[in-house]
Amino acid sequence: MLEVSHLTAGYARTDVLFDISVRIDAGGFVGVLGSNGAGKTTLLRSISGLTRVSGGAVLFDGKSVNGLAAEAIVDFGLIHVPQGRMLFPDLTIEENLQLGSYRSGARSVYSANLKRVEHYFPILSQRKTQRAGVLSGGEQQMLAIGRALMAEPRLLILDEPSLGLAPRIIDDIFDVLTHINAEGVTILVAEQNAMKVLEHARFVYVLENGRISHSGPSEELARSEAIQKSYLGLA
Amino acid sequence: MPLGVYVQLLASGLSTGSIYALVGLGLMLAFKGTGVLNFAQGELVTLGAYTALFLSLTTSLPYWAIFILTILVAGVVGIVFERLLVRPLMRAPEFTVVVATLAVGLMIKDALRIAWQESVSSIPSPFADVSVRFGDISINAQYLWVTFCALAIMGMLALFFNNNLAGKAMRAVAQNQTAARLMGIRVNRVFSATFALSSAIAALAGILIAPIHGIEPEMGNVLMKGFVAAVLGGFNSLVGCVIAAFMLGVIETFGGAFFGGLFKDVTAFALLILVLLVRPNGLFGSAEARRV
Repeated sequence: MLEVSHLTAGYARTDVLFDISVRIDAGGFVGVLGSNGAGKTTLLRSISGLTRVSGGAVLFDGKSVNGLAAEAIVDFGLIHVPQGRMLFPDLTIEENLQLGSYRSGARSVYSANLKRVEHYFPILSQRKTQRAGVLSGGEQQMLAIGRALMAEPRLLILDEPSLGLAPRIIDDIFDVLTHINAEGVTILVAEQNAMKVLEHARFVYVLENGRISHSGPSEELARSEAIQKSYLGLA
Repeated sequence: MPLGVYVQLLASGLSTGSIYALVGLGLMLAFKGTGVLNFAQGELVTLGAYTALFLSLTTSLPYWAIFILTILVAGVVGIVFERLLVRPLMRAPEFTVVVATLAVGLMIKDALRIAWQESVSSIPSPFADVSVRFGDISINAQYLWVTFCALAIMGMLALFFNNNLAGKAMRAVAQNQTAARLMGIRVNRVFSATFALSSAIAALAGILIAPIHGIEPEMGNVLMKGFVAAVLGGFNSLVGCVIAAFMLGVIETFGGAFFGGLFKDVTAFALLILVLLVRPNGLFGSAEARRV
């Protein structure tokens, strides 16, 4: 479904990513593991069109999306939940969800998607008329994912959904992602939380200093000594 | 003074306030949608009035046709304004954009001064010579028409921003452009639409004020009063802006009637300073309205 090949990208004159190749098949649940500053956010932003690609290609369904504006890429069903959630703080929860289904392909399935979001995150339907800005961190992350689900995603890419959240909430969020994936939505999640990524994703890429240092099925990586040492805190 | 005079002053004050309200709403709209404080908003009022004047001098169209045509022309002017001035400066510091709008405003004002030689003109309005009688009291229909228009625009904007997806998209763009793009919202189109709407509201103010105060190149100075109204109202609340503008118009008119015309501006700015000393976020503003 998504193929990133030999991607180089960055900001201004400084490249942050070098020769990245990542592949996700339809229905897959893929993780990108990396510490702060490894280039996870830049990789996701390059895929969704927020960051200019300086070399290589990003193919979605075999078609190049290089050079397309982020707002046009959304129309393919490639939906990005950005780092820091980026909600619309002065809009209500309901209005945030309505804007999630702004893209033309999602408006006709608004009510079905709203039901789905309310099923996964019942707290959102209880607080519909409150401003997004007053939500707790966990609720904000739920709303960010809910808003993305309203866009009828085919590929959902998430940037550090666990950031700043309590362990119990992180568990809930990854459980929901697994359910969404089981419903047929392909998922790419970038995380520092190695435990969670290796537990839920089926295939994981490890990003270090802008390059892919390891990749493989999760069970295999979880057994690798280098990963255990650097990311799981095991000796 | 007889009661009738007070009522007439009130009607006149409300209509003056309505013009301030329209200018303030236009300013707030552009600021909310794009973060640009447009100091050429006053000249967009002037331009609207002159467009109507030009149409009434060169064609034999009726008032309503001129009214609608002027607003449409103003919408296009807004789009051109955004395209040529605001968009190229979008990444510049906010102060640069403000100075650029100020400069364009001065250019428009002087161009009109050269073209029209500072003579005061007006456009005919079907309301200007009509009086509405309530018992013994008669009120100029133009005052009522102006006030009605300001309230109608406020109502339409409130509906648009709260109940319409395009209006919500506009608010979304104002709050987080990146997130708006990730929803598939075409930010550039929203910017164009915002300035089209803002310019159209300014032109409406120009057409409405023309039969009362006449058309002349300096009429854009009404910007400052609209700005005061928007600030008094909290710069975030449509209703707040209109109420503040009404207060301003009424206080000014009564102040002028009792203490002489020179006191008009004094009362406006004294009110602004007093209110901001007590309520720094304006009468109806809230702390969270500040841009982050």
